[in-house]
Amino acid sequence: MSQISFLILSGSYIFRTGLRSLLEEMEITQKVYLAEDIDKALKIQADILFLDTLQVSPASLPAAWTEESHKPVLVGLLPHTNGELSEHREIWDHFLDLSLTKSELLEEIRRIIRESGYQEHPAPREEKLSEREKTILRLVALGHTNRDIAEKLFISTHTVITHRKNITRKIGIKTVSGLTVYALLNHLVEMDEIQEQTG
Amino acid sequence: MITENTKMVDLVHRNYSLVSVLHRFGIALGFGDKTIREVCREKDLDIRFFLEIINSFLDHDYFPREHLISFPLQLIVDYLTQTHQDYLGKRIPEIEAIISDSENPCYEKEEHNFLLVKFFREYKNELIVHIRREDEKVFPYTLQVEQYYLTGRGPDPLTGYSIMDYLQEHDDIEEKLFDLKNIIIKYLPPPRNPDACYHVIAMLFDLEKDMQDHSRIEEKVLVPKVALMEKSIREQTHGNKSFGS
Ligand SMILES: [Fe+2]
Ligand SMILES: [Fe+2]
Repeated sequence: MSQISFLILSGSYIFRTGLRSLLEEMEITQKVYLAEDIDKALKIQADILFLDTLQVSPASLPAAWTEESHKPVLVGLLPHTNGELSEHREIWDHFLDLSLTKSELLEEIRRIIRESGYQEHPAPREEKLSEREKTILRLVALGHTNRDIAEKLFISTHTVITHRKNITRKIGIKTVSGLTVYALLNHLVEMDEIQEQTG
Repeated sequence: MITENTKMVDLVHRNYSLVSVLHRFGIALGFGDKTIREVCREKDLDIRFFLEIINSFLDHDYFPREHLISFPLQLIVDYLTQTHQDYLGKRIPEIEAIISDSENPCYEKEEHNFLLVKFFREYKNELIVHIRREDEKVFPYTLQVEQYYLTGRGPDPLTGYSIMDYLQEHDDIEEKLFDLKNIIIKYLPPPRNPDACYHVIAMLFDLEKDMQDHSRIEEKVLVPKVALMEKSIREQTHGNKSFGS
């Protein structure tokens, strides 16, 4: 799995949203969940949990977070550098000191991600179109509907739609006329073919 | 947060795109040290409406839907209509003039300029159809609904067309701009005239952002507001009639 999911549990709006915007700035594919209390947090499954140490006492952590198998990574959020954590230090896999500067925080989070065995950089997105996708793109550019294409290629309309979604995701173009320009620029179709169709 | 005590000049320093929003309210540059309150008084503008439009433009998380719905429809419709004029009267012609300038074409190859202009003109035509439908059909309909709702007079607006039909057929006018940006940024070759392309890209980004804001007002403010009035008319007059007969 290349996507990492984070959960931020804190009663403080500032902590939650601040940490989220920091995570979102990082170039990783991710999902960030927020919870203001433990009841909400328990309904969410995530890989790395950032827990407000003022709010979560280690003794009261749910079994799902502490049992050995499939245990998420637990990161304790320390509001102050001198935060006292005498009890149950061993529960936490990491600590994050919230008084750090932005660059230090980013560095710490990257370290935590790495040490937890997750990839810091996702595998580059596959952006090349498959031969099948090129065929479909060509037909779209020539003005065929999903239905036409399905009949021509002996596949279901549903499959055509799936291919089209993938094409759009890969090349970043959503509309039919945009796809047509793409197809022309990449010589999947030629101008005279299109004019034949429309003229 | 922008308040009525904010100076006009600070508003524009905060985000220059607001110049066109101000223009829609009939406010031109050169405001000296005047505050929003002073300018709104001079121009006889609804300060609360003005502030909500500005604040939701600046911060997309700030969207006082309930508040906006409570304003008179005419204010909302006027603002949307002014915005349409800004698009068709100014922004679109500006972009078109640059990309179709044959003296100074954006790209080396004829076919690339041709494709760009063709795509853009198609977009322009779709936009004209979209905006015409709103200006000529949808907005007058909504005002008719409001008049009937407030006074009980005028032709009964609920004879077939409903604001939900509009929502259904309301297509996403930003989508093609998004494609156009990617075509220029990613897929066309490096331009012969980079300055023109930078300029076009900046205008496309601005326009796309503005349109998102615009469509959001149409779908999240205008539609629910009119739907509520339709519902109430239906319950009062049409409901009573059917009870009576
Ligand atoms: Fe509109
Ligand atoms: Fe619209």
